[in-house]
Amino acid sequence: MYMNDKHKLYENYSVEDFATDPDFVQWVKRADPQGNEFWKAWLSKYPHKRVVVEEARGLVLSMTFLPHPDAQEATQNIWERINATNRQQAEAPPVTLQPTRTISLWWKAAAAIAGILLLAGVWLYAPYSDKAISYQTSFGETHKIVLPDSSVVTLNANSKLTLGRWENDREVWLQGEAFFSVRKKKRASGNAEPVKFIVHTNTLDVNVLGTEFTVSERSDTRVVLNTGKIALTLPDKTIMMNPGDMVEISGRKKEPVQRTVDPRVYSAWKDNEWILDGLSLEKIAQRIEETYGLKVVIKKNPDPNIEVTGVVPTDNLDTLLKALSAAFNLTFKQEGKEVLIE
Amino acid sequence: MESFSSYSDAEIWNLFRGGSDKAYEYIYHRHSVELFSYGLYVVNNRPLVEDCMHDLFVYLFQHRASLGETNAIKYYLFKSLRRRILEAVETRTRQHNRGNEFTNTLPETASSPEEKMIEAETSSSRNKHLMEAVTALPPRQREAIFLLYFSNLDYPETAEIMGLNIRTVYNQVHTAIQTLRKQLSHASLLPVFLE
Repeated sequence: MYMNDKHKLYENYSVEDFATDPDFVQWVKRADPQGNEFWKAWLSKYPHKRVVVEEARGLVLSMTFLPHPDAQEATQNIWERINATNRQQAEAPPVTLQPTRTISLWWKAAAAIAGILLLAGVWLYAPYSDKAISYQTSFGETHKIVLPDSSVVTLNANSKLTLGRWENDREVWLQGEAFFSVRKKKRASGNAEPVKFIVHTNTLDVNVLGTEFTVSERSDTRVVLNTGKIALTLPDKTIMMNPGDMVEISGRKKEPVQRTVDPRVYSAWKDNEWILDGLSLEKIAQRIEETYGLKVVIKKNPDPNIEVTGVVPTDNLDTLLKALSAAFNLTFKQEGKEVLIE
Repeated sequence: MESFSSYSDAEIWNLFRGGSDKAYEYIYHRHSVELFSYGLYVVNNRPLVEDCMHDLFVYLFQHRASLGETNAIKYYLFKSLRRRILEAVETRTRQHNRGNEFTNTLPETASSPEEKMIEAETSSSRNKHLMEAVTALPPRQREAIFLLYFSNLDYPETAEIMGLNIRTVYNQVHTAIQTLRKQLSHASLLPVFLE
C-alpha cells in the first residue's frame, strides 16, 4: 500500500486504505488540478469504487484541526511569560538558562552545556556556510566572542557583529562598538601575504593584518589602534593607522580627523571600566546613552578648571553613577529612563 | 507581522537567527495555538505543556545565533516541544515516583459559560463527534492523527517526531482511521462533488 508507491493497486483499496494514502490525502486537502484529472480519469475507469472514494474523501475532509478551546488565551499568557524571561535574561550573562518551575536543575545544566557545545559547533561550521551568523548584545551587556580563527572580539553593549564569508578573507560586519584582537593567519597556499581580516561598518572598512583595535560605529564613527597596523578604507580615500592613532568621523562634518590618543581609554570598557582621562562630560553622557539605553540630561556643567582623571567601574549602573558623581563633583542620578546630571 | 506570510520558512528562520525580534514574534504567533493543542495531545497536563512551550521559546531566543537551518519550522517546533515534554515527564516521574502522566483523555473542554457559548457557535456537532472519537483513541494513534491530518505533516516527518518507523506510523493511523470511520459513520459527513 503506502510503501509501494509506483504500483498502487487503487482498485483493491478500502475506505481506510484511501484515507491513509498520502497521495490521496494530499489531493483531498489541496484539490490540485493534476489530482483532479487523475481521479476523474480513475473513477471513470472504476465507477463501482466511487462510493468508497467519496466516503474516504469525506472522512479526510472531516478531520480538520480544532484548537483547544483555551488555546488563544493560554498562548497569549505564555507569550507574556516568554517575553518577561527574555527581558530578564538580557541583563544576565549570555548562555545561562534561567531556572523555571517545571524542570529540575540538573536538566538545566545539561541544557546549558548543550547550548555551549552547539555554539562552538556553529562557529566551527561557520566558515563553510554562506548563511550569516550574528551576535547581538543588549544595553548594559558586553560579550566576548571567539572567532573560528581564534581571533577574539569583545562586543560592547547595544552592538551587533555579523560573521561573513571566510573563504578567501575573513570578513565581519559591525553595528555599535567592539574591540578586536585579530590573529595573524597564513594562507594555506603558502602565499606570503596573510589572510586579511576586514571589519565592515556603514561608514568605512578596516583592513587588518594582525593587531588590536577598537571600532565604534554609533552616532560618531571611531577607530582606535592599540597595536599593529591597519588601513581604513573610506569611499574616497585610504588612511593608514599606527598604534595610538585614533580616527574619528563625526556625524555632521563627515571628514575624518586623525589624532594621537591613549588607546586604552577607548578599549577599557571591555574590562568593565571606563578611563576618564581626556573625556568630556558630553562624551561620557553619550557613552551612557549608547551603553545603557538611557537618556542623559546635563543640567549643570563641571568646573572647567578641574581636570578629571581616573578609572570608574561599569559592572553596574549604580556604581558607575556614584563613581562619576565623585569624579566630576556633580550628581549623576537615574530617574526612570533618564540620567540627570546636576 | 503580515509581511512575513510571503516569506518561506527558511527565510523567516534565517531572519530570526539573524536577530529579528519581529520574526521571533511571528514564528510564535503563527504556530503557538497548534503547538499548544499538540502538546496537550502528547500529555494531558496543561501547566507542564505551558512550561515546556515557555522553555522552548526562551531557549530559541537565547540561542538563536547558533541554531541550525530549517525549512520546516512547524516540524522543528513540534519535535522540540515533544522532546521537552517527554523529558519533563520523565524527570517528574522520577522525582515524585508517581505513575505515568500519559492519559487516554483529552483535557477537559471549556468550563466557563462564555466559552461554552463560543464553542456552541463555532463547533458543529460533526466536530464534537470527531473530537470525542479522536479523544477515545490510544495515545500513539491520537498523536499520529493529529500530526498527519490536523497538522498536515507527512509520514516521514510524523515518524521522525514520534520516533517510530514509517510503516509503524502507517499501521497506527490505519487502525485509527478504521475506528474513527466506525465512530463517525452516524455523524453526517460532508457532501462530496467529484464531477
